[in-house]
Amino acid sequence: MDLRKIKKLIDLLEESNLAELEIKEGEEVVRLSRVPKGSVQMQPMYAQAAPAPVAAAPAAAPVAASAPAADTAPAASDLPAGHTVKAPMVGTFYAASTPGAPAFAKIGQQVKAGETIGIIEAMKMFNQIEADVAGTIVAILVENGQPVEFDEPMFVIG
Amino acid sequence: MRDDGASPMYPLLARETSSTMLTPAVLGALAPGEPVSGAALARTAGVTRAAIWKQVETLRQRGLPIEARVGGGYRLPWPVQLLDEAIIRGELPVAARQRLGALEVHWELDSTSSELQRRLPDMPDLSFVMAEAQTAGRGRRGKSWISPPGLNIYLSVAKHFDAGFARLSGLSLAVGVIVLHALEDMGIRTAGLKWPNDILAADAKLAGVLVELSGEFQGPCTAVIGIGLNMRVPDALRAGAAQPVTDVAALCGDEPPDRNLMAAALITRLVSGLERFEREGFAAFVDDYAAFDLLAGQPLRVIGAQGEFHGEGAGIDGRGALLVRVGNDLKRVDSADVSVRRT
Repeated sequence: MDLRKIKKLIDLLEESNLAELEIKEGEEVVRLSRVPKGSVQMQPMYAQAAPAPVAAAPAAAPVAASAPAADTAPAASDLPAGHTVKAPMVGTFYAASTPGAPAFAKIGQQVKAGETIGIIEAMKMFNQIEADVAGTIVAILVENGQPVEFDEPMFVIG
Repeated sequence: MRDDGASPMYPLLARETSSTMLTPAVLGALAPGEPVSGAALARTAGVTRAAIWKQVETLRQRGLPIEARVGGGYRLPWPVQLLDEAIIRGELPVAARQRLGALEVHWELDSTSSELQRRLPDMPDLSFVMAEAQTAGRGRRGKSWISPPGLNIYLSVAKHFDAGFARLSGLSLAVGVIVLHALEDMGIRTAGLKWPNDILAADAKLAGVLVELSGEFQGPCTAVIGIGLNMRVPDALRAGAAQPVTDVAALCGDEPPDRNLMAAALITRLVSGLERFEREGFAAFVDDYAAFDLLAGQPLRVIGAQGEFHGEGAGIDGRGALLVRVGNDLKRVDSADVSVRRT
């Protein structure tokens, strides 16, 4: 589910009188519920049929990290085991070399050390993000076009 | 003045189905801008007149408005200077020549940056690759860069850095300043910078810069810097561009400087400027950037991954991030499409 959409939902909930909001889109379900303080809590849920929970789980981490009112566990503890590739700089994450091109990295893909797995653009500089260890991509924590902060976890290589 | 990064898909290229290989011979014979008969072209190139006709058609498809004259003969509406490595080298000051890595002038490449990327492990520091024509000249995020043969400058340079990505903040802006200094060296003083590094004159794109980094975040890394400078963009190509385009010819009363001299000026400034950046970082370029800043004090529309907001251009910070004043707040922008709002 698109990060911006989730942020919109949070705004909607905050502006409304609702205590809880649940949105189902395909196999992904997002339930937002208001905790007593008036802040917003988010619990990602996955339908049983979801083929790859690891693939879907990443959507939760950045949301939890970037929604200021979210009262959830730190993103890092949600990460699957493995080596975490973090953002070396502030910028915009791109999953592919050009719009429409296949993503550099997919869940389950074997990567070699030094292989490009994404790009961060800042001030029109395009920084290739390389896998710093060999292994299998077990999680992708950022979405194409999403802003990333310095040191934000982006990939987990197992 | 929407930022499309680089210009626009090139409609003539998209239509091109001819399998004719573009060769330098015909363009070379037409370069002086004098009429040359098909027979003479065929003799010079050592091919049939039919082959010449095909070459001329291919050059036309690629954007060169070659005129055919009654009574035979082809002519370019203005003279062009083909790039010549020896001439360019000869124009470089000694200091630049000593620091220069490779200097290659190719007839045609997919893109000078792509070529440099492919050969990066073998290329010494401050290596330059140029081409007369590009078949896949690229701008930001897959946007095409108009790259007709013989008219503009397509140049890429590789610079190695030891200190990792963090020290390279502002490099793309510094390159914009460097290109503007090279233009000033050739007498062109009417261009400026639209953050981060679009080079514009009279609200139209004059040159574009694309910086690609690879290597280790905290160790040795390499920047491949691609520069496309519009020296002369034929009208037909401008019409197909996604944003207004200008060229050096228009800024020089239709008499642009010699391409080899312009290339030498760029290389000279890049060698000294990139070494300065390596020593002193972006701090050495902040004041010059401010002098060229076209967005300062302008009403801006900023469209980023977090949405759109409006404000007033308030210069840049020490890292090269754009500062935008919104009410009493100063917002810092690292990555966004910025345009000037016109009312």
